[in-house]
Amino acid sequence: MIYLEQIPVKPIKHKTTLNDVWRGRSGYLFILPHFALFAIFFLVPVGWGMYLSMFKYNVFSQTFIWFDNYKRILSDWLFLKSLRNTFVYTFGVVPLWLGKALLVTVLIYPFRKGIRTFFKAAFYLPHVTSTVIISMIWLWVFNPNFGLLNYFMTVLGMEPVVWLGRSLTAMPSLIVMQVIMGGGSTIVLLSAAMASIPEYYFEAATLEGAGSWAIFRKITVPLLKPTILYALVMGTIANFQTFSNIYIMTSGGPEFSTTTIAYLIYETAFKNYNLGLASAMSMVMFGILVVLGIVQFKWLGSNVEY
Amino acid sequence: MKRLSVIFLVLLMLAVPISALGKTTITWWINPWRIAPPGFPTDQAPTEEDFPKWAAEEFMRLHPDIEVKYVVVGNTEYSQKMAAAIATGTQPDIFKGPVWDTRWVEAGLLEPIDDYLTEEDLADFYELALDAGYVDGKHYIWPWNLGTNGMGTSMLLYTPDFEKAGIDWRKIVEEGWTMEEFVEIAKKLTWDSDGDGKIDHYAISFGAQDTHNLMNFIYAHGAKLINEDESKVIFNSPEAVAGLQFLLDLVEVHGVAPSGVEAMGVYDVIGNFHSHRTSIGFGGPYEIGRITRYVKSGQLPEAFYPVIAPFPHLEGQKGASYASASGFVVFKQKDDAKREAVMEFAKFLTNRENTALLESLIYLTARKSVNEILFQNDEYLNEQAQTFARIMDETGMEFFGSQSFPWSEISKFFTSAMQGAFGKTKTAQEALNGFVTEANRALSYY
Repeated sequence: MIYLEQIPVKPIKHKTTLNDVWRGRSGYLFILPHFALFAIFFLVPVGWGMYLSMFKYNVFSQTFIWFDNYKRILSDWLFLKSLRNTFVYTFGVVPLWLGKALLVTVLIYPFRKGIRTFFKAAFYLPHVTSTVIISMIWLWVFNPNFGLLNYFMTVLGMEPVVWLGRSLTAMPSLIVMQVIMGGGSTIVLLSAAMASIPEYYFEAATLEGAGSWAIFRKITVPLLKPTILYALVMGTIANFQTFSNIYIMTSGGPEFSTTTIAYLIYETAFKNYNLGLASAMSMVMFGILVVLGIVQFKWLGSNVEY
Repeated sequence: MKRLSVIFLVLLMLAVPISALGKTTITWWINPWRIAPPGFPTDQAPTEEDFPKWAAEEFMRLHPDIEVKYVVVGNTEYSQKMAAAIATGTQPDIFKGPVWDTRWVEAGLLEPIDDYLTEEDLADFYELALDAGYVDGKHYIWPWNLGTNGMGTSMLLYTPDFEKAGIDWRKIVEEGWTMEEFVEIAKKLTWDSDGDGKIDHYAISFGAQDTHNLMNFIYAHGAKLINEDESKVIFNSPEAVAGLQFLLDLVEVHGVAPSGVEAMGVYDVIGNFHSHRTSIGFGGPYEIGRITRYVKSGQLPEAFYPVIAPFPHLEGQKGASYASASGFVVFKQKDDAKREAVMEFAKFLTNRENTALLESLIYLTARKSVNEILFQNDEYLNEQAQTFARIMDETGMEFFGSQSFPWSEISKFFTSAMQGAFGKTKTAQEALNGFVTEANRALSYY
């Protein structure tokens, strides 16, 4: 006897025809404004960037050189170093910052609403403050001669450190700064997601004798997974493109130890006017981000409950 | 009544564009110059908008058929703004930025100004100022200011510290000082202010990102940046290494400059001098003006009056000082009438009266006749301006090659070399070797 559910069902492939488009015209009209803006401000620039990347294009003259810009950057130690720096920065910041956001969310969750709101607002505040201002403040914190951090080091009997002046400490300093200042929006998102988890899940787990750690691992994290995935992907993209703090605090130094791809693109395009080479760098960055996004969705999104 | 109102509104809306018809519009980009225009209150600090606003309005008053639209473009953002403007063909008609690019001439983007320069102009402008815009036999810059803020050109001495240490600063101003004398004096200017056994006051400070001032010491040791035909960077000669080693020793051996140079830039160095953590600063008359400006804007509690002195030199040799000049460039015009209007505006900005307004910023001008009458009512400033002009005249040189040498392509490698040397990850020789290798590699792509 063959049960109905045992019969393999092939999805019906239906070719979209012009008639279908016409029938769904009102729907297409609704998405048209968004799509037009998306095309103008995203698709066209990306396409134009791809086109430019095959030129020796320096705003004064343009020569078509096929893939020479790509060959050049892939053999350029500075580009490869900036690529490495970008990965170090991104994979240094994102897990710590996400971990911090998750920890803060879980810690403030048991408080009553007013206190929760206060903490959420406090952590969100740096998010609405200009990166320039934040960077200026941290420049003072890291100042080798009269900075706050070195002041405490001296009080504790330790030798002062040139935080942003040494290749070994400059990148970790920037990562620490970003972790401390970042995560506000993720805390708000995670708090909202956490509030949507039914309370009886936690009550049931507690009755069954589950401890806090088990509840966190088996209930909180799995049910927050869609939000965590979203924060992870967006955080990776944002941090991969980090620019303003590098520009203000280290200018990519010392000895290029904090030069990220975005900063190198800026220098190549707007200081050296080499738009073709900068476009090729942008395309490589774009490609890496696409791959990272796909990997994250495939790897983490496999058992996400939406 | 309602219909009449509508007609009136429509007419009003039409009137504005109609009134603008027939007017020639000039777009003017200028970087921030906090010059006090005529009649500006003396107890206030001018903003970057005051001068361009006044100049545009005054020119429009004199030429009612011309409209001038000015845009103040920041010193750090101008390059990307200009790159985007050139790429899209929306460059301004006239421009004054921190630097200009000779590639604009090569790309045929600029108007030569030779036909508009009078014999009187040619005699009155300093040769250095005219040369700053001289490319392939033509002039492209309407000269305006002589010297920059003085970084790499001269030093500033805080005289009370010198007097406290029993040093004759007047002799330094008048006769200069050798490198050996400089070290000995610097040692006397380094002390522990609060008696806790730790040095907290230094003679001088440096920043790895403060290129001009570091380069001065290296040039003073006889180094050359590039070879004769500007095809190769040669800044790793024994002279260059000796110059850099001298700087490193000031920090590490003599202890007369604070460590942490690798993390500092020019504003850190200025800040150290302003807060009297150091006795020797850098810069020319403009930097004296910065002190007054900071006091007026509340950034500094009280004014002080440093004197301008030359950088130290090797025994028996001439020192070095960064000499430069800049002015306004006019972008290519399709319309003859508009070209005349833009040139007229450039002449207006660089005439004697308006060039003299640079006095409020304590800048020297590109006109000899104007400099003769600057600061006549202020003996102190007059003296400093004369010293500054003398230093440039006696030891002035171009630090970054000719106008067509692409310093901007290689400057980051120099900064990196300085960070490596001061951060002690490289010796002076290794740092400069690295710079030369990377600079020549970049030049080969250029």
